[in-house]
Amino acid sequence: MDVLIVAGFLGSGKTTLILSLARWAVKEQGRKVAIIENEVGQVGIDDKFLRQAGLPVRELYSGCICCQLVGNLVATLKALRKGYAPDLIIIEPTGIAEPGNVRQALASFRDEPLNWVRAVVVVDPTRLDMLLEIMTPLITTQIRTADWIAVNKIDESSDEELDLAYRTISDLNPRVPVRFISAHKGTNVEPLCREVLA
Amino acid sequence: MGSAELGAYAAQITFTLTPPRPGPECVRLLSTLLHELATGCRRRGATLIGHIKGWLETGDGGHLFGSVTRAGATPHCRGEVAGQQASFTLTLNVLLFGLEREQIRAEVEKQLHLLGAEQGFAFVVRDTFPENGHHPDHDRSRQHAPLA
Repeated sequence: MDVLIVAGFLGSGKTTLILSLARWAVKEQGRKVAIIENEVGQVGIDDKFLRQAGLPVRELYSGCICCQLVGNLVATLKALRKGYAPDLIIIEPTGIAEPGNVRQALASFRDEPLNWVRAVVVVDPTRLDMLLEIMTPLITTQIRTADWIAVNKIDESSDEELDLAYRTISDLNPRVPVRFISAHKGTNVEPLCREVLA
Repeated sequence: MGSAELGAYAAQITFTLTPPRPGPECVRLLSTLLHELATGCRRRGATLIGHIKGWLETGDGGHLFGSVTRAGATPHCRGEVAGQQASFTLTLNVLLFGLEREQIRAEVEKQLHLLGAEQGFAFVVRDTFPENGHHPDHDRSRQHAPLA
């Protein structure tokens, strides 16, 4: 079983990217995909969005899987493995989660060895400078713990914003692959899927 | 409350439209509500909008997803609503910084009253944020880096 964490700040476009990743994995790789959504409130929104696209989704509400709901995450993984047996699980933590903590939480899942655990962090270049100013530790940690960075919303961003995003990310995590995409329009999404899900 | 304090609010809102409205008007209504909420929250003192998003369900007529991440921006809306709609349900989720849940709730109520009076709908709000919930109690001291 493989696990892909798609993290990133609130409103960065995680769910839209997950939709493309999951569809690509099903269509191009014939994978059996399940998605774990971690949301605020007792009634989710992202899970509805993904379910409407025909994807199996499990929700974890009322807590954050990177700190408060570690046990629930492991229990959900166990239940998914037993009841659905996916070969790829995509996890969308809340926008304030740190991918490194989710990765640590996954270490408590011992029912079956995980082939790989990868983390894509989605960045919104139109708000990155503001977020770095207000949310410095969170945003820098998200970027530093990513295996890939997807700079999203390139269709809404200026050249200056994209350039700043690239320079900022390169400073924080010099070795991370940075990909520029529009998850909403599908621009450069397929090459990212191919790379991340290889 | 400091600028890095996260405020969260979630609700299910049932709208009753008299007379029934065509699908495109439901899209406009969702977009207007999200826009006004973002602007209103900013005016109340929100320092950063994480997201304000909504899922509108009409039953047989389809559904819409809408979200906005900054005050003054045009919300993104996706999906389709067909036919005349006399009612629908909106699942609303607000995550922002600088306001407490009660302040967000008050802004939601205010905007619903204003829009309802202007556009002629009635509404019922049911809070769906758990009382002992989530982010305000986020255990940052244990595993999270401080948010600011």
